Amino acid sequence: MSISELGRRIYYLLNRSRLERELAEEMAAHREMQSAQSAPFGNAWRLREESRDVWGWGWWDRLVQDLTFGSRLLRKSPVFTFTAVTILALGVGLNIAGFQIFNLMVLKPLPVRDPDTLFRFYRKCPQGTSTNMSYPALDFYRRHNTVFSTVMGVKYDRMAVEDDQNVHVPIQSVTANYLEELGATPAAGRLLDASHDDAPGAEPVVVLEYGFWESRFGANPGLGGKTIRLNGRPFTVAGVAPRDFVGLEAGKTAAWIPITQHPYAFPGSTVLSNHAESPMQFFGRLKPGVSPQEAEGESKQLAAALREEQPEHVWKDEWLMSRPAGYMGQVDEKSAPVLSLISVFSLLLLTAACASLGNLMLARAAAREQEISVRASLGAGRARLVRQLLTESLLLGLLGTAAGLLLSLWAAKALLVITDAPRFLNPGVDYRVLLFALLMATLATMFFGLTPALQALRPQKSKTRARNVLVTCQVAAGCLFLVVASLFLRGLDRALNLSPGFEYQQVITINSDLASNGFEPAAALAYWNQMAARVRQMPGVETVAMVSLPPLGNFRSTSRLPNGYESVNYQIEPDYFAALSIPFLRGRNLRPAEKDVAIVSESLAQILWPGEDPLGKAYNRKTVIGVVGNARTVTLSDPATAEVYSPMEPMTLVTSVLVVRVSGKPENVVDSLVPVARSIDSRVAPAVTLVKDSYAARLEDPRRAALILLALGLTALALAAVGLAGLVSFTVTQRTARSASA
Amino acid sequence: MPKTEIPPGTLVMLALRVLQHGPLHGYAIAQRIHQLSSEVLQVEEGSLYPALQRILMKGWATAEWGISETNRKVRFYRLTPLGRKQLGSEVSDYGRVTEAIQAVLRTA
Repeated sequence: MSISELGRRIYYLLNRSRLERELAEEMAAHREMQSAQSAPFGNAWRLREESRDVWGWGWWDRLVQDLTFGSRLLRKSPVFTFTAVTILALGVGLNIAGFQIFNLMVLKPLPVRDPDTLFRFYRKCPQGTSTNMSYPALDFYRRHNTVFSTVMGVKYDRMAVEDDQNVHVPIQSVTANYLEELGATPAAGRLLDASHDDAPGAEPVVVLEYGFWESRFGANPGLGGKTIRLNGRPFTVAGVAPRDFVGLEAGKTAAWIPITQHPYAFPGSTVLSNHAESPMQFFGRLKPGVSPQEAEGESKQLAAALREEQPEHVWKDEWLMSRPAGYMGQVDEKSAPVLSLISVFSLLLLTAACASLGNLMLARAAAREQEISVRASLGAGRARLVRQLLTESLLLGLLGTAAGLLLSLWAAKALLVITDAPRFLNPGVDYRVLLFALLMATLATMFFGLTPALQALRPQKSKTRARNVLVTCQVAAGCLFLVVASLFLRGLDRALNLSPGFEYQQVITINSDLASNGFEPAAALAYWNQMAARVRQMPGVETVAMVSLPPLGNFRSTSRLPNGYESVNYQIEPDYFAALSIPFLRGRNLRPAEKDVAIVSESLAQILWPGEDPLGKAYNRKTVIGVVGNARTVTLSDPATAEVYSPMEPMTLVTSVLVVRVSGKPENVVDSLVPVARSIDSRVAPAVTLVKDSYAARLEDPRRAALILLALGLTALALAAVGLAGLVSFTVTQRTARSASA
Repeated sequence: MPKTEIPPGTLVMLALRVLQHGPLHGYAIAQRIHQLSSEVLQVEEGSLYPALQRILMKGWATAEWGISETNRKVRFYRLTPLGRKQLGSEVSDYGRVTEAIQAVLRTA
């Protein structure tokens, strides 16, 4: 088609009514003249329509016609329209909501400068992986590489802020270039300055996270330049990070301090010089034109060079493995199955919705049989009728998708709020979401619209098949949802109602994180002995004991057992069982200073020695001397884990915690415990927590998941109910017609 | 004499050909083709007007309102230079094809 022809076509579209009139007039004249000789033949209207078709706008005419007719029909039956749009909005909306989340997490970069050149690096060797590295190693890479334009490091810490002794907030110790390099602009004051904030002897400064600044300091604009205390030490507030800034990995933090101030916040900390500890996350920005593979290649040589200096702390054949860091999440081998499961589920929900709607459409088609046969006998072609019905479905599909888009914004927002996601994740409509919505609309329309449209034109009998297919889809989807929901609820119920095997209402933990302060085992032993002695004297305290794994904490130390089981390895003081009320079943407890003995849980004994007497057996070169009840203090209700207890070793003391069993209200004891715990060593700021608070927090995630699943299940149920109602009404219409004709 | 349908695709060419000598209105085009074909070819309204719309759309002719010999308001079609060119190429194409068909009919 030439340009001028296209121009003429558009001209015809714009001047249609005049041109149509002219054509009618012209053809009328023709007939008049012709009638002088012979009677004209043919339908004048039809002939005119055929001529008009040459203008090339026939499809448009028919579309407008169908849409007008369709919307008139929908307006005429508001109940049907409302039901159909609601069903579709639910089915499509939840899919779009899922896509919204995927879009935010995986497709959209983090709100940082130049996200595509950011990478995180992991230490890798043929035998293993480490996510973190030591600060001196990070510094070595920074000084000797040729591939990075920037090297950044982050260490996750917890510190006491001002006088909040028993609530330690997450704080990140970072290389001073971190905030600037990620393109943050201060919301108030200034950020960390790479040129002098990590210089030796620099003034200790802190940059607050926006949300923490709001919640803890009431967004006080005059805070800049003032000092606040972290772990009891004064830090000058340099400024506040922008509202949406989350850094990399989107880890929660209340503030950022320069890593060089770590020994100031944790007196005795050796983080800056110690090769043995690996607390730093390593991030790098690649120079322009450098590929991640080239960076990994160079890291091999650098690691080998570092190994010459530190043969104990660098692995043989070590190198750095890169992963993109500019995105919130990424699809990898681990997340792919979960993602596909979620997609399958939401598509199932859409299928249920479409099947339900398809039933409704069938019911309507039954009621419209009359109308359709009248149209067919008036000369409407088959294709034309299908097109008419499909246009009506398309209209419904678009309405439903528009409503679904609104619903998805709301649902995604709700989901993000429920899961306490970072603030910058804000669902909106961008081109990806819009494209996805259109795709969903088309898919849905094809599914719920095409079958009834084709069926409407067929003789009575074969309609049962479409109905059967739709009902089967619906029932299958509904059943699957019910099964999964009930499985999940059962799991949750177990977590909520089954006793974890220990008593946690009256227990307090004191976590001093001595490792951060660079304590040696001997110093740690002295510290804990003093602490235990002081705490024991306090009113309300019943039992005090050390344990290497804090109850409901995030540390765990595990070993593999046969058949996929895992043992959780505790090091304890003998009073630990009394402190947590773990029942003693057989044998005897540890004796002070005893070595090479172990106490196992009931389930571990069953896993390793089913039907045999566990006492006297050897486990990891230790003799089993006792059996206690199962107490899942770290893994809660995980049935694949079992506990092993062995005596406390000196090395472990620097990371261990003290558990305290109290009588009376534990909240009251906490308040008097804090100053006591604090007074043992002025360098250390211990966290004093109620185990029952940690327990409640631990159940938050399953609770949220159950909430979401419950919403999905109820939606599926509602869809099935509506579809069934449609089916019944369809059958009634069909039977009524049949009884009437009988 | 029985009425004969015009072979498909040739109506546009015939219409362009009869317009070569000057503007005509729709009915006159039909009449002219009828007469010139010794009353063999019958142009139906149902095929003429789509063909004329096509000619207008392609820009081979323009149309303007005038008064017919019977004092009726009618639309006259006037060939454009583009239409003249189109006629030339269609006539030569048609000639080649008919000759080829004839050749097949004679020798096969």
